[in-house]
Amino acid sequence: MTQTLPLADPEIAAAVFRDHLMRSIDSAAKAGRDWAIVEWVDDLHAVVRMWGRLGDAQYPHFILLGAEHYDLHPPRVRIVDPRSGWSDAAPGTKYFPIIDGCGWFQLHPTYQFADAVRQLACFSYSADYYVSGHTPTDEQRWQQGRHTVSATLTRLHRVLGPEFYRGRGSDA
Amino acid sequence: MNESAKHGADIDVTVYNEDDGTTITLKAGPGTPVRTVIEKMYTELRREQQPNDRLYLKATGEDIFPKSDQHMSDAFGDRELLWEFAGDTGGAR
Repeated sequence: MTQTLPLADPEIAAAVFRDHLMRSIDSAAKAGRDWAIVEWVDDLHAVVRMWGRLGDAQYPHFILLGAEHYDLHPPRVRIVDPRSGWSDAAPGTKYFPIIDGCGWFQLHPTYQFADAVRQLACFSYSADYYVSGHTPTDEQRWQQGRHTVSATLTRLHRVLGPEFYRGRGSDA
Repeated sequence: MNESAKHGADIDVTVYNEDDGTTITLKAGPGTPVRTVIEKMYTELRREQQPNDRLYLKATGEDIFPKSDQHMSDAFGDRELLWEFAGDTGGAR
């Protein structure tokens, strides 16, 4: 079952998204988290670099965030490959994280949406979660004013940490 | 806890709210129950405690809720503290 989310006013969404994202990166740095915006693709899309942390090793992963529905709804989330114009990272490649044992997050390489087959980062702070037939509890549901893109990034930071991150693919 | 610790300097607790990226700062005496600081945090965040909330000590990753009945200095010493708070997350269970 798939649904659709209403598009936000693009100018308002862009301004709010930029403000929230910059604040989130700044406050995360104060909490010791090394995230970076590596590219503004356009006013509604930014790529954030985070680290997969496995023992003493760290591996870069890139998150393409989309603010088409922000912030009445969460940002869209895709794990992408910098070598192919920020297209979806493919399983087995070094930019596709291997995440295991997390009950509240799944990364589906291909998911059948109403309009297309594409990647689904399945958790309640990702817009695509709400258009793929999932039903969060009230406490899990994105709430404008309570949640910002920080909620999205902090959960991704957690799944890319030692609790759930198991490495990446091995292509050169 | 000993009497000298009860009268020690305040402990600064910075709470990083992962849900919106904001931080708040709380002050607590060494003899303050951890539960009191947690309650103050929820008041400042304008939220009610929920069963699946997460509250962790940044330095060690320790869960703070089980320390509710301890005094601050017994639970954490007299250092400055960074706590990380997050509400529940839904996903494909």
